[in-house]
Amino acid sequence: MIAKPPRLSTGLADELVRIVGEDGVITDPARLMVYESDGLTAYRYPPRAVVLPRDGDETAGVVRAIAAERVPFVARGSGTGLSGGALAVDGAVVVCTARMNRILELDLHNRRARIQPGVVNAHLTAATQPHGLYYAPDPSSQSACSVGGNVAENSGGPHCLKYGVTSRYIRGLDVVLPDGSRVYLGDRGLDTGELDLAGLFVGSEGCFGIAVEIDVELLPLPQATHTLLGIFERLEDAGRAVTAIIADGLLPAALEIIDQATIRAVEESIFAAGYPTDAAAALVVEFDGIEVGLEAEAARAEAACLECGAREVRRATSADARAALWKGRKKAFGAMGRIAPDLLVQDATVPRTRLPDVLAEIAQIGRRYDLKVANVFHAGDGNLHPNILFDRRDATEMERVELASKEIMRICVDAGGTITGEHGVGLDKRDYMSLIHSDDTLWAMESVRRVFDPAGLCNPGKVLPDRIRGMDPAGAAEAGSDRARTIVPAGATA
Amino acid sequence: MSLEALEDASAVRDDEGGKEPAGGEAHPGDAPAANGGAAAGGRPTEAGGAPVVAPRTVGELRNLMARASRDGRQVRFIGNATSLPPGYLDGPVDLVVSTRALDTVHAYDPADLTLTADAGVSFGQLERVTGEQGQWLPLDPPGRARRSLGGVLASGAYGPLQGKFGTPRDHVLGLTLVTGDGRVLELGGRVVKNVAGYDLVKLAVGSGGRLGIVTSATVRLHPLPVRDVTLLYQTPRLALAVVLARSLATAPVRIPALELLAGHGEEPTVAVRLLGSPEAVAESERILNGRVGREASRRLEGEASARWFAALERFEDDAAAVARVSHLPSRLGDLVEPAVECGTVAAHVSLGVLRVAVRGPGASEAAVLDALARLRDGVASAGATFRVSRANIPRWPAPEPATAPGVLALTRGIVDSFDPAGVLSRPAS
Ligand SMILES: Cc1cc2nc3c(=O)[nH]c(=O)nc-3n(C[C@H](O)[C@H](O)[C@H](O)COP(=O)(O)OP(=O)(O)OC[C@H]3O[C@@H](n4cnc5c(N)ncnc54)[C@H](O)[C@@H]3O)c2cc1C
Ligand SMILES: Cc1cc2nc3c(=O)[nH]c(=O)nc-3n(C[C@H](O)[C@H](O)[C@H](O)COP(=O)(O)OP(=O)(O)OC[C@H]3O[C@@H](n4cnc5c(N)ncnc54)[C@H](O)[C@@H]3O)c2cc1C
Repeated sequence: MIAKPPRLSTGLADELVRIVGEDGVITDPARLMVYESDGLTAYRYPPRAVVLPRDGDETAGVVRAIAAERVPFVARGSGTGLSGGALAVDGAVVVCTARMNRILELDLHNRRARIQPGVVNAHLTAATQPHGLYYAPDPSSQSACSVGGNVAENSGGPHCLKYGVTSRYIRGLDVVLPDGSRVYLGDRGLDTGELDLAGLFVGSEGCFGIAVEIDVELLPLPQATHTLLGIFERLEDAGRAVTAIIADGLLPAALEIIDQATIRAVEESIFAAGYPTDAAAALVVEFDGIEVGLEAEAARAEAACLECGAREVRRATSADARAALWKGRKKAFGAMGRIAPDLLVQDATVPRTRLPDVLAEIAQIGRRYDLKVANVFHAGDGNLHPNILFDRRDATEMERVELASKEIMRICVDAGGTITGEHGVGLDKRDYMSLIHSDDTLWAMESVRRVFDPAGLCNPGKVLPDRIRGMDPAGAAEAGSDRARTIVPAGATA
Repeated sequence: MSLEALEDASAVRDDEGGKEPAGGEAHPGDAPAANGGAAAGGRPTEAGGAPVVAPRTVGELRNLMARASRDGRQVRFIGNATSLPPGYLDGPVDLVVSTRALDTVHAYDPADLTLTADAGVSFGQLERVTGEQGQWLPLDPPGRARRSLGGVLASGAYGPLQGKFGTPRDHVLGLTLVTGDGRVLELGGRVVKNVAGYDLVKLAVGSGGRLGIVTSATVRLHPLPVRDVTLLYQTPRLALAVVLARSLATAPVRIPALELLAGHGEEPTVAVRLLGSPEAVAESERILNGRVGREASRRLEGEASARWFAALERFEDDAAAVARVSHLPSRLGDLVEPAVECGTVAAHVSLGVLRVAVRGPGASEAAVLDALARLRDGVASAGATFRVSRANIPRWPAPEPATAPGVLALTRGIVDSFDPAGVLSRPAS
């Protein structure tokens, strides 16, 4: 099933070595295996080669050389993506940012940093913490994922409820465009009268070029943090508690739910966190900010949990005790990986108030397809992660996983939600795009993509359905006329 | 202009203003669009020589834009009309489209903190609707109350509250855009986290009517803060005010709004707005006063605090011209001195943006141009960018520095894809 990629031409191989050095080019099939897949382990696409530039100039040279031979390429950070975004479709060359991992400038006075894209998310916060600052977006994968990958996916994390997602924190991007030219996209369009091209690039999933330097904004560390853990007998009650807390006018830094299947997986693993295994759900609530106000807010949240049927609420303020309350949430993915050979991490968002019904429907779908579904998610944002546990070697189970996924997406969309809240479309969800976008909107996305990458070499096969990628502009141009607005795929005759 | 295109826009209104700046007719808190549709069916009037139409539905707009695009008619958009970019209605314009008749709040889910409304709904109207539920849209651009939702989103306008809540791009979850060639695009969605496809919402927000017309949007709301306090620190010397402002900006407390006012007929003033629980606001106050080693000159609470910042929203109202200077926050001191030489200054201290208002009404065109040119030259040496955002004069100094060629090429390509016939405004940058 795994197609062998074409070989790199000797001319291109020599040119790449000249630019990045012998140790920066990988062509040995055994070593390439590492780059065949990402966090979405069900797919495998061996790349033609992997190139590891050390800075923006080298990246520009590499992209120019690759583009000159009309070879497709794809950027890769740490490969933790969960939608297959970094997969080398069409025998693409992988341009990996792992060696671009320097913090170039820390500007404490302006609370900004200029970094290379391969800097690991948690390393940025570690480097700024001694100065009383931190980088707010905190995907659960933060100890491994790169900020470049975060930019490409517009990643979120548990604390994005209060602080917002990656796009809030990107001031500017130095980008190598797919033809190898370089452009600075800056300042979120503020006070320049320009289009917000930096905002557009964030979340473009590696299809618009490669970010080679990133200007990020930092925040002052909160003075104090209070954490609560509510234990619930019913999953719906935990969902109602989330709504009650928000309705009370509180804005926690994080609101995360872990369901029974996840709790049991954690408690049966080496990560046991002391959550009761007979509980239907646990809700982590965190407040941060000025110390004196937190106690009162935590008390209100505790009351809301109890009112919604929590049988117990634990509270912690010290770093160690807080870490213990978080442990079940943080180790959830690791623990699930141990109870099933394969794990499909789903991602969708629904309006927060719809959480209880949607969770009940997801449970039903799991039962109907005889699949184990475990939920661990960013409840405050309505961002669900129904994770399906399965064994890829069982072909009929694979089929059920696919059908169940599709149904889950459908109910989330029907509830007024969307098909991905933070993991991106990548390769995995292209065919769901038509559930939420009209062909006109998809074509508008494709048109913008073509402005960045007219040759179609940059991360091919991602985000948009092939039907749209192959569309003929002449056919789409009809869209504005009064005539019937059907979009004609390239090659089709009217 | 062929009236053919107008036939579809049945809600042609006859009460649109002329080319008068809106500054004079102050309706603070008023919602000019609230009675939208009442005058439907009237004859088109002229705005700068072009008829003004106010379509009532997205369908009308789509047909209108499709025809304009096919026939190559120049179209410009206006909301409630307060902050049109300089020269926006100059040159050959065949038709002005107003969003006034698109004035409905479609969906408001207080429990989800989201609201979907038409582009023509005014901020005054939004404030009333959300206030009843103890919520608000914390976005305070110049002239807020009179402005339309679509106009603010399309121009990307923001105010002091960006310090905590961000700018329009951070508030919008989704919007509907009718493109230059009449395609109806539903962009984004109604949920707070959404990465399904390229983020065309970011592109539409702040695009100034270059890609199409925003007809409705879904925004994220916030609970109204329990306590609202403004601290005003005044000092006789500008240099001291700068030191004080910078010291507050680097305090280990997130300040929702931090402004420096100078040249406004009073002593230089640093204004801090604190929002939140009573305990947190009191503690922030203690920390900030401790940091600058003094008490505030004045302390306003509740309504009075909100009113002080509402007055600041009118900072640009009677200006002959307004320029915006974008700079590294730490360079505030180098920029505020030359700026005060040219006009009244209001600085978003944490963001690094100075607004400079050249005051009229007596200011001659030559005097305004001279002040703007001096400002541009004065700030260029400090590595800041300069742009005139409003002027009552036909010519004004070009932005500094000029747009980079790479950015220009991308911008042109994108604009062409939304407006292939080139019927919308194309700023000459
Ligand atoms: C256990 C686990 C938990 C996770 N938790 C979260 C979470 O809480 N929130 C969340 O949002 N995500 C989460 N993720 C998903 C993933 O970690 C993020 O999407 C992350 O941003 C990917 O970063 P990466 O460096 O691994 O990127 P990769 O997987 O290497 O690449 C992802 C995409 O980014 C592109 N890309 C990479 N670098 C660049 C660059 N410099 N310029 C342009 N494009 C580039 C690639 O082409 C690809 O399309 C989780 C993943 C795992 C495995
Ligand atoms: C013909 C005419 C000329 C005027 N000229 C001026 C003037 O020169 N100076 C002045 O201060 N006031 C002017 N006004 C006053 C004007 O009525 C408004 O008070 C003011 O524009 C309201 O601002 P707004 O915030 O609603 O957005 P606007 O100022 O209307 O618009 C700001 C920018 O956003 C764009 N825009 C607005 N709505 C949308 C939308 N829904 N979708 C896409 N783009 C949109 C506009 O094209 C413009 O680029 C004029 C009014 C009219 C009718």
